[in-house]
Amino acid sequence: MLFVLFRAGPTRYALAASSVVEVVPLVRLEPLPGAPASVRGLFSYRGTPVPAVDVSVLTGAGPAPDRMSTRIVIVSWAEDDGTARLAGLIATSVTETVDRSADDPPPSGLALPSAPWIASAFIVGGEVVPCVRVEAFLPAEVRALVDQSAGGRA
Amino acid sequence: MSDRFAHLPIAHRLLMASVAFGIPIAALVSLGFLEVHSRLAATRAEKEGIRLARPLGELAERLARYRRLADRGGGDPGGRDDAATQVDAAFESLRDPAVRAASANLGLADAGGADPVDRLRAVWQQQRAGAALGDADRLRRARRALGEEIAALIRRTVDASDLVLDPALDSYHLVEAIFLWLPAVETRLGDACDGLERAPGAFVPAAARPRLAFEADELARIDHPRVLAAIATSLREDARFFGESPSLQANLPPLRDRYDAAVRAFIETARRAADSGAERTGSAGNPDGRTDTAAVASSAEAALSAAADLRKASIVEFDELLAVRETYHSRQRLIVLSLTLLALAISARHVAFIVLGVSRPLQTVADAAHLVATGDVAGARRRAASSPVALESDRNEIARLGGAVREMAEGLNTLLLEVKAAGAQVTGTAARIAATARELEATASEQAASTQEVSATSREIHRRSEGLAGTIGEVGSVVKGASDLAADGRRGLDRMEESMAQLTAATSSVSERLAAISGKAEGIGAIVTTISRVAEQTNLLSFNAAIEAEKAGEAGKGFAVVAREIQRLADRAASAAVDIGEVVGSMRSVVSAGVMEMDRFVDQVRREGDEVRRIGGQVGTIIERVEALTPRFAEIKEGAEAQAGSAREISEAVSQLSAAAGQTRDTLEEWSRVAQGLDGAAQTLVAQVARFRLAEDDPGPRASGG
Repeated sequence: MLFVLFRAGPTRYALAASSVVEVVPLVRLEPLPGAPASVRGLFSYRGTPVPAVDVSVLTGAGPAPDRMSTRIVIVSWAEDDGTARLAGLIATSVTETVDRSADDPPPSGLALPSAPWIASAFIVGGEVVPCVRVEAFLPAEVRALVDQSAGGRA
Repeated sequence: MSDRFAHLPIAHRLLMASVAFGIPIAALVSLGFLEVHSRLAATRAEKEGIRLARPLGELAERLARYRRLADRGGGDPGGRDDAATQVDAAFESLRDPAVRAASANLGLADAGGADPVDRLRAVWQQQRAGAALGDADRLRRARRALGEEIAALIRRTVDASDLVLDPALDSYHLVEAIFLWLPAVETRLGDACDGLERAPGAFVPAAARPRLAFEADELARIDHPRVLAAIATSLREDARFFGESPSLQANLPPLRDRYDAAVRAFIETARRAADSGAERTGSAGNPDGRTDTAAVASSAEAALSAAADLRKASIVEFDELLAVRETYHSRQRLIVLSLTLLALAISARHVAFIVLGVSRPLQTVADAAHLVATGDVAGARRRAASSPVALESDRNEIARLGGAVREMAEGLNTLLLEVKAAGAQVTGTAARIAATARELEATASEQAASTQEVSATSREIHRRSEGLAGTIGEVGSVVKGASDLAADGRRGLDRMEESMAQLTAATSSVSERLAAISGKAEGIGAIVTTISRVAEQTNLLSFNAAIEAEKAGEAGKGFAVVAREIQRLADRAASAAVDIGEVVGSMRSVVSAGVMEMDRFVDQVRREGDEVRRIGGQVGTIIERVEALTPRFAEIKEGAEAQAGSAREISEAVSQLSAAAGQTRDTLEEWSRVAQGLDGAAQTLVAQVARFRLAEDDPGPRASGG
């Protein structure tokens, strides 16, 4: 099973490749007035306006620095009513993937009440990497924004 | 006289004016008073007259009765003696002191100063003593003469006391009745009975009849109606003069009626007696006997008694009327007197009020003016402050004058205070002027001394300038040599400048080449950037390819391996590019350091060249100046000579200045004297003002009064 690794602040996170649509360079963003602080703006992904969410802001580590390795991870998830949603996560050090085969030790299950978006964690190179669930990771207001933009597309 | 009047105080003038007005008023008042008084005096004189006339009337009446008894002679000596005693008593009553005083007051005394009553009394006593002697006719004539003398005395009394000039009609007519008509009636009655025998049954003799009838007719025609008319008039007019007299109205009419009846009875009897006598001449007797002489005599006695009663009562009433009149006049005089005194008091009070109202404020004003004249302005101000504040609308001139003097004192005080202050200021200023003049004088002296020094100095300058001109000539030749040496130095500098220009050109060429190397290195940097961007793109591509391969599941496994290989290649290319970039970067830094070093060197060479050029220019300038000096030294020499001349001129000018300074000093001395004069004048002014005592601290009654 393939995971895409990224950093938010000092911490390294993993994201299941199944929920990643594509990784694109950091493009110019259209600022969205009135949006939450974590939403840096809108950008066009293959003709579709998609909100870009700064995960560093979401995890409380401040805005992500503008580096070459800072990229946008296009993620998708299915809402409860079965409709598919798209969003862009701005993250740093999006340069590596890790493949966890069935032979590797299974990820330890985690159930944190304060961070329900962390599903599990595993060790990469001696570093503990929390695995993120996309649909729980995004706050409701951001998801509502995504819903609206998706509704506009539908 | 008028001059003396002009110096009188106003109060005295007003007093004189009021006296001048008072004299006619007093004259009028005294005239009125005298009028009343004279009336009163007349009334009193009438009373005196009555006081004398009443006993005289009594005497006349008693004497008449005695005469009648005595003339008849014979039969009744007792009655005659009795009548004589009554006459004596009447004479005695006339000796009463009050009656005698009245007689004296009325001026009835004889030529010798004796009382006429005393003389008449002596005559009476002679007659009475000689009654028994002598013949009857002489005695009768003497008695008649005595009666007439007494009647004359009564008339004199009445005249002297102005009784007949009585102003009131009631009393006037009463007096007429009492003293004229009633005595006339009585005389007529007495005359009618004269010479009639009083024997009972005796008839009137024929010779006496016409006289009796004549007397009766005259009585009825003239005397009796006069009495009645006088009494009636008196009664009628009584109410119009000093009020109706009740006793007069009550007492007089009955007595008048009785008198009227008695007189009418007598007239009747007398006529009848006269007629009967005439009838009897033809016949033998008169059986009724009523008209005999006794009847006539008794009716005459009755009429006489009634007349006497009426007269007495009239006198009493007349006395009463006089008393009423006297009371009236006394009261009138009292009223006039008190009214006059009241008017005098009121006018005196008014005069005093006016005099005080005028003289007191005027005194205040005069005092204030006098105080101002003596210089006590403060006192005048205090004095004038008692004057009321004058309003523009005030119509009282005195009050306005007081207000004006008060304001004048205020103004004078303020003015003198200001003058005093001004005098002090002038004194201070004069002192300052004098001090300044002295200072200026000292300064002028110093200036004169300085000028002397300047004169000496300028003479010294003149001397030195002449020496300087010689020295400068020597310096000029030295400078000429220096100029030649400088021209050599300048040529060497020109050569050095050329070498510096060549060095600058060489350095610039090296610098340009280094710049070309730097440009090439930048091109390599751009290529490395492109390589690294391609490597990044490749990395991203392989990344997404790996994700897609994962999504493809087992089918994509091989593809995933390829993708990972591509990712690794891309990473390696990226790292190689990074290495190249680092090498190129270090080379560029070295080259740019060389370029900077070269630039610095070029700058230094350029600065050196500039310095050499500057020095060359400076040396050239020096040479030019040195060359130019030679002719200037000649000019300087001329200048020094000219300076020597100028110094001499300065010396002369300074001498003139010194003289001018001396003049200035003289002028300043004059100024100082003038300042002292000003000071003296100001002192005099202050001394003059000091004569006035002023109120300085007090804000003045203006504030309190206003």
